[in-house]
Amino acid sequence: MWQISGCQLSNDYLGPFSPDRILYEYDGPKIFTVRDREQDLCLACWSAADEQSNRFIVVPTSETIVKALESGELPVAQALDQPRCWLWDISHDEQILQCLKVAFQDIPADCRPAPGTMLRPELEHSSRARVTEALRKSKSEPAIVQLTGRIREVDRDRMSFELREIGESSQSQKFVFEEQLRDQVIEALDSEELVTIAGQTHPIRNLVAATMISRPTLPISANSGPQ
Amino acid sequence: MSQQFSPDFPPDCPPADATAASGPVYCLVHNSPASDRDFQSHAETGKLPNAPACLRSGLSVLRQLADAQHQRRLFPQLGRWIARAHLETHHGQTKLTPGKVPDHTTWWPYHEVNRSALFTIVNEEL
Repeated sequence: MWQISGCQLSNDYLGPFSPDRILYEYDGPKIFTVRDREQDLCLACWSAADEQSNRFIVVPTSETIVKALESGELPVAQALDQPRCWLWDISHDEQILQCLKVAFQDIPADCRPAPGTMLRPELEHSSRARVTEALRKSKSEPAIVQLTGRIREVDRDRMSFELREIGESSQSQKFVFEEQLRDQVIEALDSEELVTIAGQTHPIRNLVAATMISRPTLPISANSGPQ
Repeated sequence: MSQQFSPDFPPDCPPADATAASGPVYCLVHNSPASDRDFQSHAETGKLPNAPACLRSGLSVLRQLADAQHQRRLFPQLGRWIARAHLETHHGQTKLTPGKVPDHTTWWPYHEVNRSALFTIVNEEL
């Protein structure tokens, strides 16, 4: 069994091992709710096992969190990342062998659910679809931008450059460009002069396709673009 | 090969509604290639003594690769690799035993089946 430093508590600190509502079962309950000694709701998630015992991560939870888990609105790891966290070692005949207070962040990454993983596979698909739809609605519509700054870091192979010092700030924006703008891009890079780039946002990706390069004719505060 | 179940199985196990093993199944394993230790039932290891005896005599498998991939992300310690087998009639009997995992299937292999030899690793290590 993996080891971690923590504060040893009495074996009955969390009350008896008595799964309340089983949320995931595979060769025994793997994710479930349980009531502690004060009858407060906790969430338990299987972490590891050896010949003697199963180890569960236990955290305080709420009905809202449990509902969010079941509806695919909250990944399991996020539900477990709570200010208070315990490890519960339960023998295969369901006796409590150890209760340890730990910090969730100290639990090795390969001993807890991977970030973003939902309670059940079908929830991942619906969750992904929701995210995709939200992204599509919010970002997929191309927008025209106009930014003034200095061209740096031209990648001649990938036909891209970074525009820095935008609006007298440290903000930067990556652009891709077509062959016809190559000479102007190189000239602006070499001269280190301020230039104004007009372009179109690339859906989803944080890229702007440059369509025109000119010397700035507007005050720098006239910048408009993706934030 | 004899199509007999282990004499250690409880009476009436597999259940009457189990059917001849057939098709692909997936499970997480700790070893690559999969070893005999990856395919021991709870009855053989002495775990889950309070679970139904017949279910303890079978092996848990999943019918979908995507479900095994999800399970590996959820419980990395269940196994670092995903193993796949294509079960056939002479490998035993199976029954869909969904519970909270919709495609969870219990496989009762015949006594003389070399379980680990049926499986190949299909996914890279995490």
